Amino acid sequence: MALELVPEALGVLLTLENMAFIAVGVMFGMIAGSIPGFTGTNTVAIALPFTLPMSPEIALVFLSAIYVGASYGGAIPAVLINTPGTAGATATVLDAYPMSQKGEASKALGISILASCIAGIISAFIILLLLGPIGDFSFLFTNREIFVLGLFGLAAVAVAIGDNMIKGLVSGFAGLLIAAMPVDPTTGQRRLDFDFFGLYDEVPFVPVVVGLFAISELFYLINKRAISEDTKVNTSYGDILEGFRYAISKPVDLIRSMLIGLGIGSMPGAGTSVANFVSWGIAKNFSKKPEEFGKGNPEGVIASEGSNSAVTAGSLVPTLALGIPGSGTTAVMLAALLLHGVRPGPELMQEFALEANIVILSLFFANIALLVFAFSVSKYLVRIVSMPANIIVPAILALTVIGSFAMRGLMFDIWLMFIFGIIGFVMRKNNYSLIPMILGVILGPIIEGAFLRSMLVSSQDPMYFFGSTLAISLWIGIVLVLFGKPVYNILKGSIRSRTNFFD
Amino acid sequence: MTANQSESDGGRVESTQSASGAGGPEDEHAYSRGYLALVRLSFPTAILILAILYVENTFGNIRTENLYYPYFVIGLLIFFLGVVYTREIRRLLQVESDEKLTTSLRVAYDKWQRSIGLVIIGVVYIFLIEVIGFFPSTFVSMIAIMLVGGLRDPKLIIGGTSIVVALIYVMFVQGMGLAPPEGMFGI
Repeated sequence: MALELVPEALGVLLTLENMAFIAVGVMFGMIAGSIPGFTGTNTVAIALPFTLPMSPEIALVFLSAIYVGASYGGAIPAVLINTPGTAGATATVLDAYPMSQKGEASKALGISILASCIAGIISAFIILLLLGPIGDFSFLFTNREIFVLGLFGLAAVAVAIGDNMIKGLVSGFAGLLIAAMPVDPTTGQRRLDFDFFGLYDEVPFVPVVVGLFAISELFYLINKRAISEDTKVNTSYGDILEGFRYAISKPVDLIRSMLIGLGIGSMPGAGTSVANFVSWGIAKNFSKKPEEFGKGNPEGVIASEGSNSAVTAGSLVPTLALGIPGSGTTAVMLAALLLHGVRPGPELMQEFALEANIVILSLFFANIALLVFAFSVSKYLVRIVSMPANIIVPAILALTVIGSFAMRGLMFDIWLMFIFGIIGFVMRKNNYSLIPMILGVILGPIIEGAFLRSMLVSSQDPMYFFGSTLAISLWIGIVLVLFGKPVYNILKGSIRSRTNFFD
Repeated sequence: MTANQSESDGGRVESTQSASGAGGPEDEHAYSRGYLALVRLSFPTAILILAILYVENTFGNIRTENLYYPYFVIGLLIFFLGVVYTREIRRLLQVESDEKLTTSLRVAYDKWQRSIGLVIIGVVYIFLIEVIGFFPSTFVSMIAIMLVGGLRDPKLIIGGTSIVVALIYVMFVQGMGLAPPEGMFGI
């Protein structure tokens, strides 16, 4: 089904305007991604309100390009100054920086660029092929299944992201409660808006997203002078090309890391940091020189960068198909979909299959743009990290203020953004993951709508939510997600106390 | 670097955390039990109060069938909050610290004074927007944040601020047609 839409999607995508936005998005993402601590999630969150005047297609293309650029951008400081720009580049540091210390910084950059681009392009192609089956599967979801799926998504993300499952669940259900504060969707009666007109009919998710991610980050960044002052690295275009040649000579490593990234990225909430370490570990096991891993083995750079680039495409699968984000950045992408009238969830592949195709196809072109820009300017972007944080912070604050105001033209939204920035800071300080809360706020109205319609259809019978095989499977999935790990730990402890099986 | 470092904190990586001295729970020995309770229980307590206010505002005012969903959410939320409270209080009871609350607050202030400064300037900034408009208040607030952030070079302060304000105007007001908030004087 979905492949039939490819020519039409290409027709929409291949305009000068879209190509320009892809170029700008990739460049912007690369710059932001190269700032350690300022990642794809924050970058897409900041850019989100500025897509408001754009058409939905251009906005989604632009944000996807930012996502691709930021995913790669994290590798630049990882290679050059031993500091990953994003969580997804953490394993890159292990071999890329030792390569730099051995005078092979350019080669490491070249490997990271080509591994990212090739893995990104191939994984986008695979996802494009999968869109059809995903679309067919989505037809199985009615309101009942959408409600249970929403709960499943929250549980899965709460468990997968962060160290503390219960805190993740608190975060997610707090998001659902916040989303339920405006008027009752059926009667229009006010619930808990504190007499603020801005909260009357909806919780504006853009200020919430920008506040939680971008503003809370500023409270950390302000305490730093410069991210790094060690920018004296010699690089050359010739050696970057040498890195290209090395990456091409390792197709098996590339494909393996890409498949790992794609698989892990497709799991709700798993994210890039898991993928790049798993990929790095597996590459080490398969390597003929495993003892060189962590000491500047180029295969380690391919493993990490190939996988984190494939995660970008992979994490869009649960996002587009089910409305469950595969990573923090795709959680913000969900907000972007909603902002432009594309309703996330299983219905997306029924009603917005063209938009889904456009998003995936834009990854192809974004990766090609990445290849050009990354080759041209990577060696210079290291200077970004030497920029004083006390200049970056006020600039970002000003941008987020105008961005939050832009959506509805209400000062209330600026206040809300700032308050959620403080809430985000407190949450991060106490190890509460932000992503479940965002997911709760974004999916809340969809879950509540599905619940109310299901209750209406079933004459208020709660057993209706257990009335289909798919719904029961999802309930079982929730139980497994919530209790699988604790039960495993109990069993492991019990077995360990009696045997030496785990020792 | 830790393998389980995820994008859960908005993608912030560990190097940034350590560099900024931020992230994760406080060092238990450096702070008083009262301070740790204040920090750790602030978020769950705020959510609990929100849930109570929700019930108070809706119970009896909205027909019961329409409250099934929000009360289902609140029920589960209170259960999870109960688990969090139990765990946190148990951890707090194990804390052995001779520090006083006031001392801990002072230590925390020293550590986070720039962040606190940013909060104060942020609040004043948003108030100012409504009075003098977006661009003048942005100009003033950016300078204030740079000063709080430790920047003292006047050329960098004025130059950086002017460039950012000009870029915002050109890109977002002229280029994208966004209308920034105006103050009482229509600026």
